[in-house]
Amino acid sequence: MAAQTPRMDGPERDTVRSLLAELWRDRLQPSRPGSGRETPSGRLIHGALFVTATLSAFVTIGIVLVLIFETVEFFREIPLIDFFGSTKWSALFAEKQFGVWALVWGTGLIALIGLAVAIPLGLMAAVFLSEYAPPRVRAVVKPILEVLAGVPTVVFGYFALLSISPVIRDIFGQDVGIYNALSAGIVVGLMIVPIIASLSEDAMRAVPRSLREGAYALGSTRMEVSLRVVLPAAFSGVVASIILAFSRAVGETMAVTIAGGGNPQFGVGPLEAVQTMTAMIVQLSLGDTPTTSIEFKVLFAVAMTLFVLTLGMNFIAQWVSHRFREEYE
Amino acid sequence: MARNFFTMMRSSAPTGTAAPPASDSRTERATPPPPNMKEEAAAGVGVHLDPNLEAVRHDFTEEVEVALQLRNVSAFYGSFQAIDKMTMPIPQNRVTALIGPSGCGKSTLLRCFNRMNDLIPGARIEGEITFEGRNLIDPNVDAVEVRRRIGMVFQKPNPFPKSIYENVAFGARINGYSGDMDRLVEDSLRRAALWDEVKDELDKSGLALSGGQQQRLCIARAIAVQPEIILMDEPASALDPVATLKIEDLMRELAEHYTIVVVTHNMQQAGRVSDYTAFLLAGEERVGRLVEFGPTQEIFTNPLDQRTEDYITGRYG
Amino acid sequence: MSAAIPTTGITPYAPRIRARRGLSVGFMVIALLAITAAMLMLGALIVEILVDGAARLFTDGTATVQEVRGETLIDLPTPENMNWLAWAMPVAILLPFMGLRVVRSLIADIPALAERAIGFATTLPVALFVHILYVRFESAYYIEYAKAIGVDGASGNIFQLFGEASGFQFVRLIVAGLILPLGIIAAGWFWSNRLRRPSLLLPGIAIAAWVVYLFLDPFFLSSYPSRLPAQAGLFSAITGTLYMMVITAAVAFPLGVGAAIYLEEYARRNWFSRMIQVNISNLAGVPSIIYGLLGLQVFVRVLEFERSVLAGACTMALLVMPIIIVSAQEALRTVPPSMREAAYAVGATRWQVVRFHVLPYAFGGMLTGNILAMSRAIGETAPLIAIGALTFIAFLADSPTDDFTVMPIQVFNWVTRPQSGFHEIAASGIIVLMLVLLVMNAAAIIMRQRTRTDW
Repeated sequence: MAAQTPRMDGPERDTVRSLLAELWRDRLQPSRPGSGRETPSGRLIHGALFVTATLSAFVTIGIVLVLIFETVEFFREIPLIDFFGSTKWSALFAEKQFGVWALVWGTGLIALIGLAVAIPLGLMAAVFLSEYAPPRVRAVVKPILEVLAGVPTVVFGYFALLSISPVIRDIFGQDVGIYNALSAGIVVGLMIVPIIASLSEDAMRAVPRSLREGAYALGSTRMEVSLRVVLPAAFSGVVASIILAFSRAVGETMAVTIAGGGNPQFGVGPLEAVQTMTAMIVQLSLGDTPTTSIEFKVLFAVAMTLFVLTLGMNFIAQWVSHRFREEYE
Repeated sequence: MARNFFTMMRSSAPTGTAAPPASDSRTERATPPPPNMKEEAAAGVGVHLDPNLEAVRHDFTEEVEVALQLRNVSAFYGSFQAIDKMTMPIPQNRVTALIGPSGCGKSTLLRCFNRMNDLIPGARIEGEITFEGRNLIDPNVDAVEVRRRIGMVFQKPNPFPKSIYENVAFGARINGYSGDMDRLVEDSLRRAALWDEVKDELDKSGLALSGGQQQRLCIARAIAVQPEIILMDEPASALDPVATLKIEDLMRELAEHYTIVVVTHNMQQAGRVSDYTAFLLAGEERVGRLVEFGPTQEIFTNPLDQRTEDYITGRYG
Repeated sequence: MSAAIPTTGITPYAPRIRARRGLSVGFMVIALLAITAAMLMLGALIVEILVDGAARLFTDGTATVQEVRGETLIDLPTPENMNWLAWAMPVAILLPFMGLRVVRSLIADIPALAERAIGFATTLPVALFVHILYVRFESAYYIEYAKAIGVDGASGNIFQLFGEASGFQFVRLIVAGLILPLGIIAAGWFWSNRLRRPSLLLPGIAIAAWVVYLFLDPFFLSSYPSRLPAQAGLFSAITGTLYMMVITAAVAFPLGVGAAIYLEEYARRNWFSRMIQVNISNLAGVPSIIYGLLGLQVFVRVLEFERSVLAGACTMALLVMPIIIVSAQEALRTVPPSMREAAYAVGATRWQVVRFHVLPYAFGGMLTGNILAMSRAIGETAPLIAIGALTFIAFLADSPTDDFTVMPIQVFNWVTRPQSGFHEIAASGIIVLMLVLLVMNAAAIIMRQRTRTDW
């Protein structure tokens, strides 16, 4: 039974009605089709917000234009084959050579050392946090790992140069230079551990519980569930996290500038000084390079290479995580 | 450890005060029928498993061996008690259905049988579940081995995101099976009545199958590790009627080789597939208790407890 | 039915299972070791920096002056009034706190607001008064101190400037010295009132901050860079960082939040908004040095900002904008749709819904994201090097078009010098930088917890 509601009748009701009508007359104007219910000021706000949203597109366009503009200038003077077809780099000497592979080698070497450090640490951490750790432990450990991601890269550079490099020299002998790819690579690895650990853990936690239970019900140990069911099921996320971490390692600048040295040489080993693309950009930026000089333009050609590389890897990571994601209901 | 547990009560015990067989005097004590027991049934052969439980066992007409014997099994999630002191047998090579309204602890009980509750933080079990003479709940008993020998099929099909072949082979592989894997996969799929449908596409992902096929794949997966008991947690609730029928047929077939315990919401299903039925009910404080256990036909046609009859005739929600 | 499954091969179980169990446990141990290794590296990093940098950042705080240029120690006792004022501060912080505890035990139901007001009214003025007095005596003392250790005029220490008595610089000094301790005292009061009973923890933190302040080397934080490690300081870098952060936040926050509001509340789900969304996530992955080149061309050269604070801040704003947008979007998504529907149902326009119903609830989350973005910006070095921020700035920026330097650039500069004296002050600079980051992240975490609403 519905509760009885007080009802108004007669003149009382009419008064209320007319009052209401008066109150709402201005508001209840039929709106023009397509305009929604937006007032002129509402439309203004809408427009302003739209502009802020499109700004990010202009940033991308700006980056591409800036890079392309100077890169084209560069290739007007230096043929493409000298840039991509050579492994010798000597931009600051009288006899200039612009073989980008020397820089790519340094970048790749440090990034790969970084991955060699970060993949085992990061994946192990992810498996532990997602499969083994009780919630309370995870709540403590995960933020601590993420602190690693918040440390400024210049701090890692200090650590590599003044703490890790001496240890490496103690191990491999004093003829190893104080600047070497290994120390830079190790700190780059530390920097990307949280990326791999965090994203992989997310991917593994997204694996439905039912799958784990299915495996346990067949008599699996925790390790077998982790490694043979959860990890394969989260594979796309794990791979994407590794690619993203690699992309981050390639774009990393300060630590490799400080600790990696300034030796753009193709084919050198991990115990020698190298120079990455980013370190080269810093080196050229620190000097007062005239904006019309070839050194200034090569900056952008190298940056373009870096941009295309990292963007490509980011796209691959996105593609992998979408294309190979297992769809569970 | 097999004991002649169910005896021909009707012939040997003409009254309700008949002494239980000497083989299992600990759990079976003759007691007066509870007040809410139906008169005509009480006059017959009903025997309490435990006077505190008001759980009723009917007269049994066949001799079967016991696969699992529960004694005073209670389960807790943290401070919440989910089931309270359940005592009953699970007959071997028979299908036993656990029925009851939502939240009465059916699934919890099922998950006690193969220690799946170990995986839930804060969950603990008390009491005794005897399997081949050992108490499964004993912390010294290896849960991994228990789960290998007591398999489980879940409510929602949960095939691994691997090929059909790998799905079936997975359990045997991790358990160190060294025999002919192809043959094991084929046999398991045949037993799960899936072989004819998938034999040409064993490399296809298990997730690409239909819901009913996925569930049969999960059954094949469970069979492949050669368990003695298969637990099924509402195995057909996510399936359409045709697929459900197939799973039910399969359960009947599997009962020749395995002991099957199935949780179901579906009364008709319990009636169709099971040999024995346990009716569980949660009281006001949401603690699940065993109300009645007995041969399905008896439970459905001639329940001893008023609440059982109410539930079966649909008077419970 | 097929033939029976062969039962050989799987049995016997028990020994095998024990081995597998062992393997599983071993695996867990290895995983734990991996995590420990990562955390140990972090620990080593922190310890190394503290050990290297503490000497220059902190004085022993007593009467003697440290040895400079191999000369003998100069005995310059701190004046008596400084000593007792140093002790007065903890009392000033604790006394009203304890008093309030007593009052609370006598009067059961003090309104929370009244309690907070009493807390502020009793702590803040007293602490402020003690601090101003302390700074007065301290300044006089440190002028003598500077003369004694022979800090020359070229290094431009601000205590010497103060010696020439410009009121403006006096105010600047007080403000710089007050921000840390008073901020924490205020936060302490605010927080202790959120708890059921006023907690001793937060006044404790305030007192700890005061002790740190007492022992801070005044010269490192208040000197300009120098060619001598013993005289070099972080003053221009700190002010440069502050200056740049204010402008960065002022530029990036409105733009980022605006974009987030558009994408979440206004945009239709079409190719355009999807493109923007993909673009934002890709921008977050662009190496920071490339933003520097963008800033170099657009802000420094085309817009002719020169190598100024403004150019640096604009570049930094573009860099952190994707972070702000994404976190603001997440904050907006936590507001349940029913909230918007309820507002629409009483006839609100779209902007009214956003302004009065969505934003107030999402604002805390947005602010948190903004703080995190700023903490990213504080540590960034590469883009500012690319736009040509200088490392040797012996003056304070007075307008946004002045040259500037920031803390990480100063640290970078010191690290790359060969002399170990510079390495030490680089570590000191890193401690300051990390402390600032720590405070910002703590603020973000506290804010997130405070503003989290469970729907």
